[in-house]
Amino acid sequence: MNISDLKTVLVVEDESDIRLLVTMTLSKLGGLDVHAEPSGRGALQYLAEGNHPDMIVLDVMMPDMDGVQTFEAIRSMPEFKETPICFLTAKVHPDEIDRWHRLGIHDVLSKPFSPALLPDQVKNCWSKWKNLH
Amino acid sequence: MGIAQDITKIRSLESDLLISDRRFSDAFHSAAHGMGLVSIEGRWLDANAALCKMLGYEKNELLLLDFQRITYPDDLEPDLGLVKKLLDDEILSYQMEKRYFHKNGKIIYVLLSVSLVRDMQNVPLYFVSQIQDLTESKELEKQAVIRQKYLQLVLDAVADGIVTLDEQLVIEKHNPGATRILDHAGAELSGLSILNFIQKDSRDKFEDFCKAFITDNDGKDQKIEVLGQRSQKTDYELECHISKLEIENKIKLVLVLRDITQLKRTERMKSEFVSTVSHELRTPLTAIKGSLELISLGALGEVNQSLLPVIDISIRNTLRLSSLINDLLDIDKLSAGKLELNVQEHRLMPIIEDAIALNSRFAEEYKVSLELISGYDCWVNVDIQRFHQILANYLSNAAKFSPLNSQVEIAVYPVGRHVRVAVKDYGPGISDDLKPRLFTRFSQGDGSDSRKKNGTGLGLAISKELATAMSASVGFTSQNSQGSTFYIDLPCKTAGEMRAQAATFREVS
Repeated sequence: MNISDLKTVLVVEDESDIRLLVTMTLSKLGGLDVHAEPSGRGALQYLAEGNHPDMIVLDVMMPDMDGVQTFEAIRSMPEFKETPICFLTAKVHPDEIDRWHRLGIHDVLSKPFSPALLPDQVKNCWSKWKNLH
Repeated sequence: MGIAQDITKIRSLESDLLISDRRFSDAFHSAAHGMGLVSIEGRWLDANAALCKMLGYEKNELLLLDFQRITYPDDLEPDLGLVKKLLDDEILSYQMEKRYFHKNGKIIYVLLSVSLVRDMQNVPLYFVSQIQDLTESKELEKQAVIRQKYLQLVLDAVADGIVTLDEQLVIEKHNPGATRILDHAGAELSGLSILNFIQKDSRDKFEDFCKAFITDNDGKDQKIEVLGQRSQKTDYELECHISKLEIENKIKLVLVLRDITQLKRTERMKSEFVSTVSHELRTPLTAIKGSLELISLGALGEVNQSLLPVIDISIRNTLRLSSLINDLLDIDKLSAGKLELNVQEHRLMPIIEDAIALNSRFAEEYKVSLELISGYDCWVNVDIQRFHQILANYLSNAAKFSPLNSQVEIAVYPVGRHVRVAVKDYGPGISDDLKPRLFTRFSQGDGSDSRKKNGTGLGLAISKELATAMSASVGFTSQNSQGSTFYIDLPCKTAGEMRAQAATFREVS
């Protein structure tokens, strides 16, 4: 698995400013092809339309469908059982992280994020996942 | 004449009287309580030493007075009434409590017993009065009544409920506050078990707590919070201070009850408010900081050099804002007891060296150097991130308050079973009025100082609470104008002890 195999990323984030910043950071600094959706439902629809991102970055605290629900819905789609998914969130309670780990979320990136570090963090997350599977 | 005939009989009678008189006289004068002879008109005919002393008169002074003169006005009429009955032969003697005036004007309380002596023809001759001084016992009684009344007023006035329980947790006594808090619809509380007023699910816990308190406590009061249950079935949060006393070999529990429902609600609201506001502040701050960093990283194209200083200012200030928000969230979590620590065994010196390296740049801004003066190799149990937070707080404070071109000295050395990390600066020192509240929230030199030094005044309070959570303690020494030393003492193991421990593990496994 080469890191250059990571090309396309789906970002799901309800705050429009943060969504734009994450998109710009990952595309301009990380050189990735980023598509962003404002909600869990939007993400599911985007995936259902036949798009296959190499990786998905999910916000956790979102109205309607939160990150965990979105994660479970994505995993229930047969063609996305193996797609690396990580959380990007400010809510980092140790109990919560344990629960996420049991669900199969191995990487939790914390907000506020640093644009200088975020692209590498996302790439590391992807490599780790690929090495595990 | 019959007189001549009867003379022998009379003589013998006189001698009898004489003997009895002498006996009476001895008894009269040596009696411990006051005795007096009073004429039919009320004049004192004789008084013994005890009576003179009681009333404060010399005997000759007293014999110039009548009893009416020294009787408290309200008591005169009942006394005269009884005197009249005695003279009218309706009664043989009387006894009454009455008051006299002492010569010095003070009132004395006495128990007066009076009988009347008549002659052979039944003509009244004089009264014999026995007077027992009750002033002291009256005074004690009065004091006891006042004390009782005072105590009752205090108990009635306190807003808290106070109840006493016997060993079976049955209520014996209570104040009106208890009736109000337990809200027993005005019915009598005494004789009911306190458990009736505790919510069903809390009852066992409360009972166990009380029973355990009866059998084994170290004499200290304890506190428990339970759900109370009122007659109309509404639950409320009840705080209960419990103490124990022993009266005539029986153990009583004293409970001080307080309805803390409102207090808890306010606390929760405050906590929710702080965390909501902080989270709401974080999102826009993340957006600002992210944007500025993207610009400064050149992700959006080359940046005009002249813009870099203001971009730098903006970034530094967003960092300052986010550390303030983090402080607020920390203090909120700490006070709610919700802060989770990841405490693990670490070698101390590498952490200290890291902390010095991490904080050197900040110190340089104040033209201050951080110097490690002495080290001590040992292992400590800390949450490494939080320990760094404490060290950063100490180091940055020291740098901020240091004179230009001075140094901040870091010394690590053992103190008993602990290791001390001390940070010394050569700044102005801590003023005496600030010393006692230095480790409390929002304390800094003064308002103007706080602005100049860029602080929230929360850092030391957080450091102290974090240290406590890691079983460490914090402190400082400071002499005005001679700088300050802040330290943290951590329980530690030496490298030797660690090796011994590792060896034991190997043997066991």
